[in-house]
Parts: sequence; structure tokens; C-alpha cells
Amino acid sequence: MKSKFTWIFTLLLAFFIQFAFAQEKTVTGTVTDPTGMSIPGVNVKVVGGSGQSVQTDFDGNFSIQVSVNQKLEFSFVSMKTQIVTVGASGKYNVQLQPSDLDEVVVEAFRTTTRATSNVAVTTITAKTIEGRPNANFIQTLQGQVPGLNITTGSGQPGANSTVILRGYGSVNGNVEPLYVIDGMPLNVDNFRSLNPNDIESLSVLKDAGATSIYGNRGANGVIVVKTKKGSFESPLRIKYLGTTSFTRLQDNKYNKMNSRQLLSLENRAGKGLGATLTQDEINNYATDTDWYDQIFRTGHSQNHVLSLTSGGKNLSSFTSIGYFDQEGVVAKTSLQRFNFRNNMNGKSNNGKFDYSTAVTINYSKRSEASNLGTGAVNINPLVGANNGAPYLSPDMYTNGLDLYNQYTGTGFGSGTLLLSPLMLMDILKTGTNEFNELKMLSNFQANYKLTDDLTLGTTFAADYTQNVGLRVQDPRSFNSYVFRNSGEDYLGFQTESLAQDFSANINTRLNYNHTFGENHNIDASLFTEYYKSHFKSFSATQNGLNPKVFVPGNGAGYIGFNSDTSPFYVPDVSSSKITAGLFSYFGSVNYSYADRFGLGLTARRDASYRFSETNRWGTFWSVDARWNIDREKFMEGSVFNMLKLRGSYGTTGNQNISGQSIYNLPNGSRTLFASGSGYANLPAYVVGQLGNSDLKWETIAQGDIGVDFEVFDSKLRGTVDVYRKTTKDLYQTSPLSAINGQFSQFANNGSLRNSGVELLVSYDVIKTTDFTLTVTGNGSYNKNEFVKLPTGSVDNGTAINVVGGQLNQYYVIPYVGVNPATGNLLFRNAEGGLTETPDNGDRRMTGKSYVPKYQGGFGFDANYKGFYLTAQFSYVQDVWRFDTDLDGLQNPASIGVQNKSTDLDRAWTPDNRYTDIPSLGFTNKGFDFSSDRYLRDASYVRLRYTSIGYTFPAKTLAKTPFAGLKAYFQAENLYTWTKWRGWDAESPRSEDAYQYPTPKIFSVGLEVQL
Amino acid sequence: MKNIRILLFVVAASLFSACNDAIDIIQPSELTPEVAFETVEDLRLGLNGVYSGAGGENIILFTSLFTDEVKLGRANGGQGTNGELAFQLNAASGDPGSIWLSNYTLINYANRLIAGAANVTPTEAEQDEYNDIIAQCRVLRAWAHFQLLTFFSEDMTNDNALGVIAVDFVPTTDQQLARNTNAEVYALINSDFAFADENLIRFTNRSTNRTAVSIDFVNALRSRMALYRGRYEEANTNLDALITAYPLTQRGAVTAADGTYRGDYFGMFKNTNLPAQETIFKLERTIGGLGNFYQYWASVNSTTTGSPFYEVSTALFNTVNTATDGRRSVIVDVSAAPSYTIRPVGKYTDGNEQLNLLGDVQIFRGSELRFIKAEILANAGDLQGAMDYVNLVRRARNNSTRTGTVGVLPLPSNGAVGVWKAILDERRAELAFEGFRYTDLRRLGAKANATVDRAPADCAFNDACTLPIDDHRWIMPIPLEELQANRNIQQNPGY
Repeated sequence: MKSKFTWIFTLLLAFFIQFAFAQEKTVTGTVTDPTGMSIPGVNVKVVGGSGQSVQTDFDGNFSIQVSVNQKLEFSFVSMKTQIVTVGASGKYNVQLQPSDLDEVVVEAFRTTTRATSNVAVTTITAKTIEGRPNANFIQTLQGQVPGLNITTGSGQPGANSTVILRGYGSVNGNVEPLYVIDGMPLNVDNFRSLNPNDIESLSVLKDAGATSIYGNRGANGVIVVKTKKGSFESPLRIKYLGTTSFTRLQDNKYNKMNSRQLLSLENRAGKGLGATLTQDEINNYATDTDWYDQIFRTGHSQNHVLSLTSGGKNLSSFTSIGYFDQEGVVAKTSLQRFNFRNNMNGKSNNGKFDYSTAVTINYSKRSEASNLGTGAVNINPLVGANNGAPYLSPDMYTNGLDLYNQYTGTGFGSGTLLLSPLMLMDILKTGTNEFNELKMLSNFQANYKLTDDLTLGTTFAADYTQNVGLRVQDPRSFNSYVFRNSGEDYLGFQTESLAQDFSANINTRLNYNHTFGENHNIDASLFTEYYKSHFKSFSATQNGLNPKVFVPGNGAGYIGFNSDTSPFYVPDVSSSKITAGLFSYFGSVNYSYADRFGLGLTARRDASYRFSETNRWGTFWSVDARWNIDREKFMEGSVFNMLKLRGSYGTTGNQNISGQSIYNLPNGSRTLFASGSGYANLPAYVVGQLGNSDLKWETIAQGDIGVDFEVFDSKLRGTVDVYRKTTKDLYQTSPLSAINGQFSQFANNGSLRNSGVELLVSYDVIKTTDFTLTVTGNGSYNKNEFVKLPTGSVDNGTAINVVGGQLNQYYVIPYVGVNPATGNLLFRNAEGGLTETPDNGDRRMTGKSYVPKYQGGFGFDANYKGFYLTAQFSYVQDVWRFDTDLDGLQNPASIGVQNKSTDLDRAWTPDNRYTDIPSLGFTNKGFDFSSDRYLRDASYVRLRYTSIGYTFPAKTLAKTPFAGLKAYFQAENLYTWTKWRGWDAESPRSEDAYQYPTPKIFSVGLEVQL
Repeated sequence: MKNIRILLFVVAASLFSACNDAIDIIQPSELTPEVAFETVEDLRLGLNGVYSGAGGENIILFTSLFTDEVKLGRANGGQGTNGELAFQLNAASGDPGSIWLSNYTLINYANRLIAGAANVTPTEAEQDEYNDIIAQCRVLRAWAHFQLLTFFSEDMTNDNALGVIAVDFVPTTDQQLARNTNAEVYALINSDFAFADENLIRFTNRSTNRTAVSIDFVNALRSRMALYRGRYEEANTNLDALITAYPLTQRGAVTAADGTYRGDYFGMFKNTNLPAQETIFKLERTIGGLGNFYQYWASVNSTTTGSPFYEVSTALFNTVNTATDGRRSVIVDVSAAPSYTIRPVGKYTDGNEQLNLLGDVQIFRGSELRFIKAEILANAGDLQGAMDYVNLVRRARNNSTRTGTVGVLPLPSNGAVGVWKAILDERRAELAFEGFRYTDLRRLGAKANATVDRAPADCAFNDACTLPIDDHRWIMPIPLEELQANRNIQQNPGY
């Protein structure tokens, strides 16, 4: 009965209101962006009064009841909110201006505005991500968010990037942010299968105030991804986006030799082919192979995305399908992907209940080069690129058997690594290293308004990832012949592997939101969260394939085990299964006073399956506050359109203390034996792991103070943050006496601190109807230092962790130069003297590491009558890495079998004593391994992205079926300013040797809307 | 509203009751120590695990590089050049860490099984096997302690000098123990030997094919230990009986056109004649097993085309480079014959399993017994008697029959020094790549007026051609890892 009365009362009230405001009129209009393209889904709200709101339809049209002199507020994500006062006119066409500092701030479980957010968040919108030729959307974020360091160290299509927010917060545990896609916290940062064009917005949550609500996994920051949605009451809208791209190698400055140069060098060194030729023969040597041509190529890529949005009264949907096909610059590497997404939103007639579902199914197939970064002369194609001797002709390669005969014969190059490039041609021809990935994300969210103030909500999300691998060494390949055992008739192997990863996350919440009186708003929530994930893998390797019938991926040609012929053909099989889980309950309270002050509190209790019962639960909390100074009376008339001071302090936990995966270290607290194959392959129980029952959460405490400001009619906008975060109970190796059977054990023992400053600004230089120019810039400085270590220092050879020093700082012997007297290398010893034979005691701390101290980006956006030009630069400074590729090209030891740099033409001789290159026969090469001889400054400034395009104005399109049309040309990694001599200064590693270089990408794109 | 409240309660209640299922997770197949050892059968499986901790490869590899058994191979890509080949040896070096750790790991495994056995009550029928398993553990534990003393003791001949940490219990992770004196470690070893005397089953399948420890191994090890301690009389105790029990394996006749000898002696290393007469104890190595010796000296395999990082050194090769010496066919891979221009290390090519560098690891062979006898005699001044024992080995290696006399060396003209040198040289050739050379040079170098012997061409690349015989590097440093973990440990002099 009660609810019925409520209904009737509401109806009466509505009637009254209509009656009372009969003076209202209907205002209509269209909302467009500066290029004239209409914007669907813009929120149009009457300020004050009834507070009613509508959304623009797919053509940007709206219609709303309002009375004269009231104000209409137009707001849309990524656009600046605009307010229009209603006058006599019945039609208002509004043009929204893009905002680089977005008005809408996506926080953990709620959405606030820039003015009312208490926390440090940077939001990136679809505009930045759409249409870019990066397989992985993370790559497009590079240089966009202050404090977010994104490093991609491989050009392999679909390669993962290392993402570090505000410095490394862990030594051995997960260091990357938590990714939450539509409410689903993801286990791994694997996005090669996801379609970046489905993303509506992406928010980087940085300070404790923002991340504490993700306490059990938010220690390294959180990136909240929201995908696109349809709006209610909007017609069908179809959008097509297509790009075609070309990927090319970036240049290096190694100056590898050509045939004549190398033969002359060999002649001087008395090694290899050159030593057997006369100068005349060298000058006339016919073959001159550039091995880049054999290993690399110009890759062609294409990307097509078709999306459809529509909405009825109570139901709206967003559907997209995508196809992406990228060829890598290294021959045979590629990524192909098919994406499907369907997002639906629904609500009840009375608006009390709403729900949404999001389902995405993605299938990708990729072919990878293997043994990258290693010196595998017979597998890693990159070894041949720089080191292949140019006087070797690719025509010398015919097939694996011929090559094997050549290698084991007595002829040219036999038995040496000179033939390595031919082996790599063989692997490019015969090798298979493929992966198929199926990734499905789905979630269901529902909210029910119990009362006006009280809402019960739940999110159920599931993530399923399945990887199928196929690796084949062809029975007729060179490698099969060379590793053949005597008596082994059938060669080669095929490994097929399967890995399934399923996780489910259930979040239930109760929210109370009430405004007391005029000015006091309380927004409080209680949550429980349940997370469980299951991993299963299986792999089988067949050894011995019949080449006549064998085809990769098929089992015909498998040779059975025969007890008479030695166990060559016994298959290797493995299988594993792991379960992981988390459980939490938590609450948050946000109080705001008249848009002038805000205060937030969060507290949570989290349990992880990983720790022993006594250490399982962790408690994390945060407090954050803001003061909107611009709302104060004394600020009236100031240049500040906005000025906000905010601060937060709190703790978050990291339970992924060993590596990134939630499955690692599933029972590290227990000492376990393992059943396996022991002595003489007999079944055995062996000591599997030495347990550490004291394992517990790593806790990061972080303080942050920030200022958000807008000045000069909001032409200049910016954010400044300073922070300090300290990791306690750092999980790391602690030395152990060998009597325990191991030299070290991991334990929560130590403390690491990051502190830094971040700045983000944008400025509208020109802003007219026809011409807009906005420049943006961001930068950050982070200082990383150990506060406590179990032994004061951990010596890792060429790197050392020491209290007061940064993570993995280089610990090397200073290299001085070439000794003019001997042609050997000269080093500085610990006493400061010069020596040719230093030892480990001469190593010094350098204060340098491969983690940059400064990083950021800058760029501009220009629009002129539909034409636009965008450029984004990214930079890192104070970053040092070993150029091991250069070491290889300058090492005279392998003259005769590998190509060298022309640098060796400067080598020390008795007539050329003052040079930077030691003599070809220098005898102390061994000592430079632990010196800084090849430690190089890898700082760079890069034109990361530039795009030029034209958006057809609505007028031109009026008579066409198109609602929007845009064509553009864009380039990634076009130019880099750096001292680094290799292909790419950017890398998350301390040294680079034979790695897959990241390419330049040129693309043309077309965007069509119907 | 009431219904909603009930619903809310149900939702909340279900979540809280479900929470334990997300955090109380025991992974499949977890094997705690209590569950692992419940029966004698379990102990048998545990013993297989203990044996898997027994290794000798790191000692063999270190010895071959640091002394003078290898030179740079034709496919060397920088391996060893800044380490052992340059006599680089300090607390941070990999070798002492590896040798220290692997032996303590074996000790730890043995102690854990001994502790696990305490919870098992054998039936009467099982009692002998139960005792035997513990005895085998104790012999392995004793052997590991002895290996540690061999490399890390300040001075094996001085009972009061610092030895290593003696461990006969399962340690806890917070224990930081000082080194015991040699005497204390010897006492533990001897108590383990005494237990073995009482409890080791004399003949088992595994001890017949020499891949498990036996009473003979215990006695042979007693003899080796006494010799290293300089207690020649004690070394002689069981020696003659052992020498009789383990006749030298003969070279045999030329069996291949390339002049290589592939008879019984060859087969002893290739695992093709089982059981080898001469082997007292060896560690079995199998495909997919734990002790894969693969890719230590070569990249692909141990043939001339197998991209060797290291090859047999010129000086070592010269000691066996005669048409009659069967050891040439073992030390150098037979693929090198007949030219021997490329000389890959051949001792660990497995003839049975057709896999390179997977030959069993010989721990104690009969020829070493003869050398021990020779040292005892040389020490007593019986120089000719000493040479007779050296020549016993030489005759077995240079003749197809036991009565042949090819290869017999005359009594050196320079007296005792010459005899010690002859013993040292013969040990070098006979025990090459078996991990003795480093210890032999330390023990006998001064007496024989010899030290590291690298041919000038082999060491031209870095000029590291020799190391004075009184250098501190003839005793290994306590590894840095132990120093960092154990504030009570004492470093050896010179480091």
C-alpha cells in the first residue's frame, strides 16, 4: 500500500509542478564540437530549479523544458562545460570546446567533477586513443600523463609495455598499476587483444586518496578504463574508422661495415676471409650484402573498426567490431586481431533500477621471433642483422641440410659463427612460433534505488583468457640437423601449449547520498568484494617428426616411442593448475560543503590467499581533502577561474609481492616437498621450497599535495602535485646461510621510497571560431631511494641496491680510455689510480639506472577551418643503459666471423696511439664487462606522434548521406633526438642486445559517420 | 522494504560465508614434510631426491678452467675469459658460491631425510632397508663435508685449522654458524662412516653398478681423506684390499680406423660396459635428469663441429698425445681423430644414451687408489715403489693386455721431486676433467716443483699463464653470499 501511495503522490506532484511552471517553454538546439561535428550524449541540464536534464541524441539535437532566464548547462566528457542563459530565442546551437583537462573525473566507484575531486587523477579520452596504429592502447598514453612512465622495449607486434607510475614501488613484486576495465580488475596487463577504439575514457588514479579504495591491489596506482556506451532516446548511428599503416625500422648510428671495409679490417687483424685476400681482391670483392634487407621489411598494417550506437526509451547499446592486422618490421612477425564488443544499458520506467552489461570477445593470432635479446646465433634473427658479414651472400642458403653440410664440412666458414646469418634465414623460413589468444571480458552491473538517498548496487565481472601456443622446429631445418643425435632418424619437434585463465570479481555496495540543508553533502558507501581466479595450463612436445607428412599444428608425422631406438621420440608433457583469491570489505565517506570544502575517508580490510593465516589480513586507509579557494570571497575578481588545493595521505597494499601475476608464490609460506623425477630419472621426493611463514603484504604509504588551477578566462589550465610514497615490508631477497640449501630467501624486509613532483599545463594560444591553437606540456621528476635493506646493500654484479641509493643503480668500474702505451683498456681503480687489470673491488656507485628521473611530454593541437595538426613529443632524461649491441660491434675478438662497426678503423696502433678504440689485439677485454665502458646516456626527446587531417564541415556534408567525415595522416616515432646509438633509446632494460627494434609507423586514416 | 532488507541480508551473508573460499586455498598437490615421509617406500623416494642433490660438475668445470686443462675453443664467445682463465677468484666469483652451496644442499637434503625417517616406524622386514637408507644419507653427507673441506679448509693437514660448518641437523633460517675446526668436521665424517659400516647393505643393484654409495666407496674415501690430511699410514689401511678388488680397466686394442681406442677403458666413461671394473662410485646421469652436463664446454655437442667454447689445452693434450695412450681417445672427443687439430673435451660423451656431455660423473676410480699408494710410498722414500704404482696405471692405458710394458717410465733422475712430479703428471692425464687438478697442484705442486702449466699459445690472449703455487687462490674464498648471510663465518686468508 505504501508504495502505491508514493506513486500517486509523485504523480500529483508532477502535475502540480507542470501546472505551476506553465510559463516554461521548450528550447531546442544542436550541440557540436569546434569542427562542426555534432556530439551525441551531451548532458543538458537546467541549473537549479527542477534540475531536469536530457541528453542530446545522435545528431546532437536536444529538446528541454526551461523558463526564461534560467541557465542551461551543457556537459560532456572531454569537453569544457558551457552554460547558456535562456532568453527569448527558442533555439540554441551550442559549440563545446574540447578540454585537455577534463571536467569529468572518474574515480574509483564514483564520478566527480574537476572542481569537486579531492584526489590526483589524470583522465585521457577517446580523442587521444582513437585511430592510432598501436596494437596496445597503453602505448598511446606515453608522454600524456605526468608521473606515468611507459616504456616499450620491443617492436614485436602486440608487445607489452612496462608502465610505472611514480617510480618503482617494489623490488620483486608487481610494479605496474592495476587496470580496471568497466569494473573488472584485471589480473595481467595484457591488452594486445583489446580494441583501443572502444575506449571512452581512461583515468590514471595516482594518490592514496584515489587508489586506497583499491587497497588490495592499488599500491602502484590504478588505471580505470571505461568503454563506450549508447545513450537513451537516440537514433542509430554508424561510425567507420579505417587506417592503413606502414612500419619501418628506426635508424641506428652503429655504422656497420660494408664488405670491403670488413675484409680490410680482417686483413689487418689477420683473421677470417679478409686475411686470405690481397688488397686488390678485397677492392674487387663482388658480394656486399646488407643483412637488414634479409631480416627486416616494411610492414603493412590495416585497422578497421565499425561501431553502431542506438538507444530506445529504456535501452541503449553500443556495438563494435574491429579487425586489425599488423606486420612487424622483422620478417615473419605479425599480429592479427578480431574484436567484438556489445555494451548495453537499461533502466526501469521509474528510473529506480538501472543495469548495464558489457561483453567483449577478442581473438588474436600472432607470430613472434624467439630468443630475442639473446645471442642465439641460430634462432634470434636480430643476431644476424648487425653482425652478419656483408661478404656473405644470402644466395649461399638453399635449405637446412645443405647448410648443415656446409657448417660441418671443411669449406668456407665451416664450424664457425660466420654462417649464423644463413642459419637465421633458415629459421625465418622453417621456424614456427605462433600464439592464439582468446580474451573475453564481460560484466553486469545493476543499481537499485532503495530510497532517494540509498542505492544498492552490484557488479559481477569475469575475465577469461585462453592462450594456445605452437612452436615448431621443422624436421628439415638446420637446427634439427645440427642437434641430431647419432641414431636419431626423425628430427624436429612440435610444442603445443594451452593456458586458461579465468577470474571473477563480485562487488556489492550500498551507497548513501544526501544533501543536508543547502550545503552539506554526504556520500557514503559500504562495499564487499570477492575475487577468485583459476589458472590451468597444459603443454605437449613431440620429438621426432616425419617430414613427409608433417605440417605445423598437425599431428600427422608424429613418430611413436620405440624401446629399441633410444628414447628420442618420447614426448615431453606438462600440466599445472593454480587457484588464487582475495576478499575485502571496505567503506568510504565523502563530505562536501557548498562546493568549497571536501573531505574523504576510506578504510578497508583485505585478505589474500597468499599469506599464512596470521598475516592474511591487511588494513588500509586514506584521508583526502580539498579547498576550492576560487569560491572564497577574497578571490572575487582575481585572474583565477579556478584554484583548488587538495591533499591526501593513506596506505595501499601490494599482495602481488613476487612478480606481476596473482598466481605467483601461491603457497610461499609453507615448506614443501615436490614429487618428481630424481636421481637416474627415478621417482623422488625432493625439497621443493623452503617456506617463509612471515610473508605479508607490502604496504605503500603515500602523501600527496596538489593544486588545480585555471587562469586568464581558463586559457591556461594546469595541475601541480608533489608526493612522497614509501613502501614498507618490501619483499626481497634476504641472505641465508647455505646450510639451508639456498643462499637467499625472499622476505618482507626493507623499505623503498619514491618522491617527486608532477606538472601538467595547457594553454590556449589562439582561440577564434576559425583557428584554435592549444599547447600542452607535462613533466615529472621522481627520486627513488632505499630506506632500509636487510644487509645495507645487495650486490648484483653490475648493479647494487644500497640504502640511500636508487633501485638497481649501476655499480661499475670507471673506464678511462685506451692506454696510449699498450692499446689496452685503462680503468680507474678504487684508489684513484689507473690500471689495466681492475677487479670487482674497483666498482663504484654511479647514481645512474635504467629508470628515468625526469620524464614527460609536450605538444600542440591546431585547428584551422577543419584542418588540424597535432604533435606530441615525449621525453625522458637521466636514464642510463648498457649498449651491448655496440659492444658486440666493437669487439675485435669476433673479427673474421661477425660484422663490425667502422669505429674499429680508429683502433689503436703504434702509429695511432691516442684514440678511443683499443688495439685489435687488446688483451684485457674481459675487464670491461663490469665497467662503464658501454654505459650510455639513453635520454631522448621524441616526436612520438603527429597527425594532420581534415574534418569536412557539416555544410559540405549536408547533401551527402554522411554525418561526419574526417581524413588524416599520422606518424609515430617519426624522429628522436638522442645520444643513444642503437635503434631505439627507449627500453625498460638495463642493457640491450639483439632486441626487436621498435618501428616508425606511418598511417593514413578515414573516419566516416552515418 | 522488508523484502529488500531480507534480500540485502542474504546477499551480505552469502558474501561473507563465501569469503573463506577465496582466501583459504591449498594448491593442488602440496606435499608438506609430514605428509611426504610416512612409509619406508616414501623414504626410498626421498633417497632418490637426496642423490639428485649430489653433483660434481661444478668442481670439474672450475678445475678444468682455473688450472690448465682447457684452452679457448674455436667457438669461444667470451666464456671464461674474464673469470677462471684469468685466475679471477674472489668471494664474489661464481665457482666458490656454487661449490659451497651445492655441497651444503646435499647435506641439507640428507639431513631432511634423516629427520623425516625419525617419523617412520619400519616393520621388522623393512628394518634393514630403513637403516640402509639412513646410512646412504650419512655417507653422502660425509662426502659433501669432505668436498667442502677439500676446497675451503684453511689447511686440511692441520686439525686445528678452520674447516667448514659441520651440519648434522635440519637448520632453521635464522642460524648463523661459525666454521668448525677441521678436527670437528672430520669427527662428524668419521661418525657417518662408522654408521655406514654397521648399516649399509653390502650388495644392492645400485651398488653393483656403482651408481650408489657402497662400503668400498666409504673405505676408498677414508683413504683419500687420510691422504689429503697427510696421514699416510692411515691412508694405507684398507688400500691393498681395495686395489685387489678394483683392478684397472684395460685400454684394449685399436678398434677404429682413425686410431682411437674404444675398448673397456673408453667404455667406462661412455657407460657402455656396465659395471666398469674400476669404478667404485659414479653419479648416474640420464636424459632429462637433474645433472645435465650439457653445454659446459661446447655450444652444440662435443664433436669437432659442435662449437666448443673450450678445447683440451695443449699441455694436457701433449701428455697423452701418443699412438699408444688410450686416454687420448677419452680426453679428446674421438671426432678429433686422427688430425687432432680441433680438440673438444670428450670425457663426458655418453655412448649409450647418444647424448653429448651426458656421461656419468666418476667420483672414485681404481686408478686413484694406485696413485694414493704411490704417494704413500714416495712419502716413505720408496721412490721406485712409487714409480711402479704410477707405471701400473700407465701400462693399463698404453697396452692392450695386462702384461704389456709400453709406456713405462724410468725412475726420474732428480730424486723425490721427480717422483712427485711423475705422480702429479700422471694424475693430470689420468684424472683429467674429473675435478682433481686444482687440489693436486695445491697438495703436490711444491713437492713436485710445479704449478699451472699453460702453453704460451693457449694463454697469449690474456697473458695469464701461471699462478705461483703459494698463492692464496689455491684455497677457495668463503663465498660472498655466505658472508652476507652469516655474521659468524670467517673468511680464508688473502681474500
